[in-house]
Amino acid sequence: MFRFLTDRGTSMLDLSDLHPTTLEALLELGWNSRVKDPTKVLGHPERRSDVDGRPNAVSAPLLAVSPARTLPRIGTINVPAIALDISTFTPPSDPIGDIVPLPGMRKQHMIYAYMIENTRIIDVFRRVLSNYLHGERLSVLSAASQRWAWTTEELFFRDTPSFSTITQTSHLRQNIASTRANLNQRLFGMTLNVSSEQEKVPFQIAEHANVDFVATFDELLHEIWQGRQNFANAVGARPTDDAKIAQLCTRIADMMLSRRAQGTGSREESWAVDALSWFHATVREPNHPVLADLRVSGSSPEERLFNVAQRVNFPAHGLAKSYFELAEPMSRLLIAIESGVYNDAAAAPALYTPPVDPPIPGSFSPVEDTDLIKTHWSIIRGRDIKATRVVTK
Amino acid sequence: MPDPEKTTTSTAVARGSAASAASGSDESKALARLLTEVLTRVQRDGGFSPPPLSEKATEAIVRYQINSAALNPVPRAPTSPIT
Repeated sequence: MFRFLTDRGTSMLDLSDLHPTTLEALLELGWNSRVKDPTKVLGHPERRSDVDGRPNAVSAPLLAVSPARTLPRIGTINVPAIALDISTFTPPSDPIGDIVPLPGMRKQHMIYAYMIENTRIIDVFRRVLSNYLHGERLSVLSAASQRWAWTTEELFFRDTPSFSTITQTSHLRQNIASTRANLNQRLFGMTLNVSSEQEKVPFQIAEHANVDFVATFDELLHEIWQGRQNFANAVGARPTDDAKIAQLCTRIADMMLSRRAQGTGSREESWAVDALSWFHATVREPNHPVLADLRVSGSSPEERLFNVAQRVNFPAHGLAKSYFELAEPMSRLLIAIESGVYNDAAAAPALYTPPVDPPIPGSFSPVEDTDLIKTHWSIIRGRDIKATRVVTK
Repeated sequence: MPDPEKTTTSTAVARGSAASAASGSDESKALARLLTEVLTRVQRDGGFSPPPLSEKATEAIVRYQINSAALNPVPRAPTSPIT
């Protein structure tokens, strides 16, 4: 959600200046404005859940106010325009064909939250906040950073307010990190990579989990690579197996939709993605006041994260670059796979063939994303998916 | 545009293969004809173009692009100056 808003042109400086209640109201509005296609099965990317959050009328007064920016910045933040954009957002249509998408917000896939959390960004900023709240070792915060710190503590490091979509801690679920870990285990059969300096998050292990997701995804990327290598072959051998690509996509779509039956876990996924996108958007903003107060610079999000981590003597993940690079492309790919468009061998070449028609402005093509995913997935897995398989008998 | 150096080389090879087609066995003639065809297409078209995408694959690409533009959209018209 926060990455969506920054992509739409609201700077992270402005978002960081908003009061936590305004941000919570925007998150609530985002949930209520999600795309809902009644023709799709419940749990499908275009119909994640049929259960609405707090009525929009309750949040409306908060979203009608344009608060002033924190000095020395001047002007106001146009919250009504942001809210209107969320509630009326419609993706662009196909300029050539006749595909017209339904209006409504789409959220990133849970894999986005998993990848960003693996950079250890939450633990790094937990230590930043703790240092600022308990002493002056890191310097003192400017007014803009105090607002950011207040919001971050309020929304992400305490139990969230009652009767909200983001209320996901209770007597039954005492830790939001455990809820994320449980969802990661159910959807991907994976847990986070934890360093020796981190506490392992205890979580309830679900009986039904997609334990073969990683192996299936490895196999899919290998087959896509075969296609990428040989897509232009007009003569000679062409080892691409479109039927196998379609079968592997079907397998992944089935396992994901099985875990999402009737919209299960959609609210938890939405909040996990929103929470991680707050920290992601913070390190993507090179001029963010909290980075300035920490006297941290860097040419990329991972460099800025490494420098922040160094200030608080806590290591970010060494492969943070790959995790950052994977997060959004892999989210886009898994959403496309879940929507079932690659369950047909005739559609499989889309995953490895560069498109001929001009792209929709601002969009990514499947081949752009799969090229990047192959590289960085190989890095985080420590195993080259482009390597030729050796069969032992 | 084809590389002039490569074009010169491939022209020479094509001429050579045409010459061997005229003098060799049936097998080598067929091979030489194939080589000539390949080199002619490389010279003329700059190589082989990939097979055209099916309608389903084209639709899958467009749907992917639409979804990606929904998740990471382009900026809306600015509403207030960013200072």
